[in-house]
Amino acid sequence: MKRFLTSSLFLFVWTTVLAGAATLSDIEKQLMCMCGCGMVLSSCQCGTAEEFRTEILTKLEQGVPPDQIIQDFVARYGETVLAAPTKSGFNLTAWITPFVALILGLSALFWVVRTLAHRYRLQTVSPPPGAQHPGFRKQVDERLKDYL
Amino acid sequence: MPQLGSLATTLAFLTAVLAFAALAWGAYRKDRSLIHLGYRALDTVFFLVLFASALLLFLLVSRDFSVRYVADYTSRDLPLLYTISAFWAGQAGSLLFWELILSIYTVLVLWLYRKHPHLPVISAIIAGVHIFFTLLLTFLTRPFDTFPFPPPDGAGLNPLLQDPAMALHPPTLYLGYVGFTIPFAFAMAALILRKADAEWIRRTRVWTIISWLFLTTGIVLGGQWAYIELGWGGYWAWDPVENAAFLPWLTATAFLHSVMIQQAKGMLKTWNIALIALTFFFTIFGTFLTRSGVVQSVHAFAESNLGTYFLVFLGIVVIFSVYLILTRSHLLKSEASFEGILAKETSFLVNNILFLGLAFATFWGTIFPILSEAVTGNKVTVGPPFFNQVNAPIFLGVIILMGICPLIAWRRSSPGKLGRNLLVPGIVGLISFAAFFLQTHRFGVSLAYASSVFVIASILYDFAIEAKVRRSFHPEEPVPQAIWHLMRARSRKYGGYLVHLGVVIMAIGIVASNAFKQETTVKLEPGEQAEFAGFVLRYKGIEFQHEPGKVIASGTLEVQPSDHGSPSSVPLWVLRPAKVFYRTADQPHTEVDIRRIGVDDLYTILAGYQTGSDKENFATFKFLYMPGVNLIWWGFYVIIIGGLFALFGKGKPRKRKTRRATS
Repeated sequence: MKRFLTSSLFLFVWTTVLAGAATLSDIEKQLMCMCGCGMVLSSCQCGTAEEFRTEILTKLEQGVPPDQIIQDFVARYGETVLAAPTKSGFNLTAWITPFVALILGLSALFWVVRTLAHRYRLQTVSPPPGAQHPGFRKQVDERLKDYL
Repeated sequence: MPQLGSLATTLAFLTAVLAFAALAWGAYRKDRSLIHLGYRALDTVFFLVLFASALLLFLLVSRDFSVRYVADYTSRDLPLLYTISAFWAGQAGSLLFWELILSIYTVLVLWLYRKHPHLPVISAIIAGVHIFFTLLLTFLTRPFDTFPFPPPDGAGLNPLLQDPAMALHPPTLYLGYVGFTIPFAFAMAALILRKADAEWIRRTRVWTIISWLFLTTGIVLGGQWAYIELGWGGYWAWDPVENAAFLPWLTATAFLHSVMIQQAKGMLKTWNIALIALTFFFTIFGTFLTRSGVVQSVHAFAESNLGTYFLVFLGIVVIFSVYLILTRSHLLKSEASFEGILAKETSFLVNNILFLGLAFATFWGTIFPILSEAVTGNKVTVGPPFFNQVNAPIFLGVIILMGICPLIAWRRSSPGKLGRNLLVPGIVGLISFAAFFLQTHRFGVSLAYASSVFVIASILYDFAIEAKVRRSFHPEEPVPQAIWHLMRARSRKYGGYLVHLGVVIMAIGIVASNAFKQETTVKLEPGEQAEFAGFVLRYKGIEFQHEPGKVIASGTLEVQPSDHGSPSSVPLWVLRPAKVFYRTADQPHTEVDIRRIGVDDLYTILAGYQTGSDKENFATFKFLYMPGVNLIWWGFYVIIIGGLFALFGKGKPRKRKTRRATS
């Protein structure tokens, strides 16, 4: 209970800087809570998360740019504090690979279907329009009646 | 008494080995007595596991703290519901629960398909899965281990798990996970016996749909639990373990679509076998993720050495499936061919590629931290920003395809015909896009909304055309009767459409609650008020409530609409978000208070408080306004109704078949 009351004091600090709330919200969505819960900072309600928020707000008050605040956390905890990998170096593969795989999959599908459809058209000859049996339309209607 | 439980799990393991050996050898030698022995051994596994489960439940309810599992997950003051749910709260208990569901499914299979010629091989495969889980329970994670000196009280259940949704979420999820073992076993048996026609699909359709419905229910209940219990106003965090449940759901959804092509045209046989094998793989992979400690997750069980055993089992599943598919590829040739690119068959395949794309992106994001550490030595986190950015466009593709697919003809269509079919829903979609964009000025959001409207228009358009055709044959029927007959006659199709409608409703809820969410944090002294999202919230003070095992500190908020809220008027609602201090937990637990307003929610969190003299007496609240969030749960109900309708709706008997049989 005491620990909880202490952490409430941190809350006091960040509620006095509501003007910076939008930026706090932006930053906390980009960072992870490092208490071991594995949650994004904006989602975590633990004491560690509250300390992080207080630090972010204090720095925002001092005029530190948001990017610099994030970099300070990276310097302290490593890249693991970021909620998503950076878009550079090896991490870029994280972002690109799913789309490359998807494009390859769709291209392969298009190629296979086109090849098979082409082969099918070469093998089969469609009857000319209107060449069906005279009772064909009636049969279709009867079947449709059963179906619907 | 716990020793009886250990004996039961050990015997279950030995009996599962016997069942596998008897069934495999009996099927190979066509020895009926051995096969019969195998069936009875599987029945015995069921009774042994049932006994072990009943015993664990008894030990939990009777609070026998000499059993380590009972002491770890219950306490004397834990309510009965959560004492029962402690059965699946821990590693050993949840694995026993998994094995119990598998045993129940197994006896159902043995009874329902007792005359099926593939049953010996099917049950041998299922027995193989039993061996794995009973082995874990017997040698690695034993639910009946005891203390030499029992503690006076237990550690209690994690407060986060003390929620009705959490009592239901794991069982439904497990019913889904385990259910996919059955279609997998049928598919592999069909390959082993070289009879890879659509028979296994027809037989297992009910298992696939029910498992899919359970998995969907489990995932949505998990989301509801997170929304209500975790106290951050979200329902999906792309946590590795959430992803683990989502992966088999994605591949199973792809499978549910592609089997229609095999049933209708005898195509995609290899594809379907691969999809169900992949789905089964992902159900085990999910369990591996939760139990191995390889990823950091809010859901993960304690780190253990189980990961290696799961990896070995996963390896066996992959080798077994790939070997069978490769060696039987000549049996999996399509009976028909694609006749054109613009055809329903192709749209189903595009749907499959998109679902597999989503599954790959989710899988890739989940394992990337491990990969990155192995390659660069750097630990990275892959969280919601990644998954939202990568998966959102693919989801959008799935939604748009849901609108196009019903209106494409089977076999071959032409751009002209497709254009004519899409004209009405397309125009509706475009108009709604313009309307949403003018109102919100947000391209992505407008596109998502317009796509959803396009799908609804497409479904209604297809429905209207078929109803019109039916009425041309049955003009005597009133329109409602014609619609009902149409739905009953084609329950699979219209059940599927209902599911699509549910997905679209959910999508609208997800987009709205993310794009237009409002939130603020305020510090209030008693008597002070804050304006938020059109409401005035007046703080009255903190109240303490002492209950067995916990103290509840709730902040009372009186809520009135902004336009007629004066301090003297009667409050519209009283909300009491709280902090709960459990005796058995270090950190207080957040209990949010949510007021439902149509499809929206006013969500209040007591973030902190201090009681003392005037200046030190305050509370800090976080308020969220979640537009459209209830559409997510409503969409889920529509999905369930649609799924059940597709499964149990009685289709009109086909006269055509009768005639053919008669002739």
